[in-house]
Amino acid sequence: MEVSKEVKENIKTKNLKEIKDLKEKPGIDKRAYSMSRTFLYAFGQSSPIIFSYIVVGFAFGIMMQEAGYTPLHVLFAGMFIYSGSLQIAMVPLMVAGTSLPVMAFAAFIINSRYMFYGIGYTERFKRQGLLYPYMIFAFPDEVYCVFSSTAYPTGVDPDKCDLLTALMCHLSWISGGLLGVFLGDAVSFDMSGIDFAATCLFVCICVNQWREYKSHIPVYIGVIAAALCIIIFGTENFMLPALSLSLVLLVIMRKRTEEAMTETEPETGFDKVKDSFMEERNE
Amino acid sequence: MNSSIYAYGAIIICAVITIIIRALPFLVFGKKELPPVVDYLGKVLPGAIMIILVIYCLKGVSFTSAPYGAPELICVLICVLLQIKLKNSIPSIAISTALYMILIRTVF
Repeated sequence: MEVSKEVKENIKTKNLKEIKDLKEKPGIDKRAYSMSRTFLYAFGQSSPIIFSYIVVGFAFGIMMQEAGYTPLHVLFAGMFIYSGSLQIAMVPLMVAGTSLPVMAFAAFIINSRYMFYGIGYTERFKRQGLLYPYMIFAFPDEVYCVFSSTAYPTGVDPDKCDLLTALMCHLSWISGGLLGVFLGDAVSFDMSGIDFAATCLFVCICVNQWREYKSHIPVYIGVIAAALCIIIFGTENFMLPALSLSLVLLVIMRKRTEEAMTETEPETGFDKVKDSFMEERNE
Repeated sequence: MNSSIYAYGAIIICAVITIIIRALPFLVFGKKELPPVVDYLGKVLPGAIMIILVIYCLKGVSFTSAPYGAPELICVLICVLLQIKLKNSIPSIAISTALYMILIRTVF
């Protein structure tokens, strides 16, 4: 009896150690990951993006087709630009024959927000090895949304999950555009307003974050920064100043925000029981 | 044909500018050990960025002339309520987008 108990203890501590290792160094034991689980989780977390990308990509495809551009243009734009807001804004610019330097400037203004997205993702993307540059490239608003709220469940390979998510989103954006350019003629239905799907997606992510974040200080900072910058710079140019201002405010408020984010609240029943048990023992 | 070549040029320019912007933070922070403040920013920035993105999406809406942004505000509100209730983004996005498309054609 005694021996078996000891063995049991040993196995238990060994398991605990393995779990701890896995948590500390993701990817240390590949056998613990299940490919199908990883795929399902990546697909699940990407599904709202895939949906809205096909819808908004479709709208882009139709715009291009109506402006007289070919499916090959749509394919290249989706593959190599991969930025909804810029691609939709560039169609009227291209139709107007805007000169390429002006186009470059417009692209910079529209997409300057992406500079802020990579902050905090260097370590995570580096783990992709050779595909590190692909992860940096395939990082538009929507993918940033998903990556900022991923919580890998057990059995899900974090690195493969990130890669699959990025690939699935990219592919759905490309296919949305191609569907639009090929089927645009067949669809007689007026599609205006369809790009509201992107707004709704960001709204949903905001709601999820509101639920998950322990502190709402970042959201308040975002609202205040946006409001101030709209007053000062107007609705057309507020994005870059608003992001910079939020970054500065977040750094100033770091101590308070960090305290609020790491506030320990007994989340599970088990924690409560454990806490009360410890209190009793201390008494 | 000329306009087709021009379009490829425009696409290439946009692609190059976009990839440079995306690579910038990785070039700045990628080489050395991350300072703790960057790690902290990575955790809290999404909270601020997401709400700014929503505002950015609504920037074209005119709140000073009829219909005073009513269809957008109604549909954003419905999207929020659906997401709180259903906790599933796909129906929230689909229903609010469909409602928006109906509203801008019929009521407003």
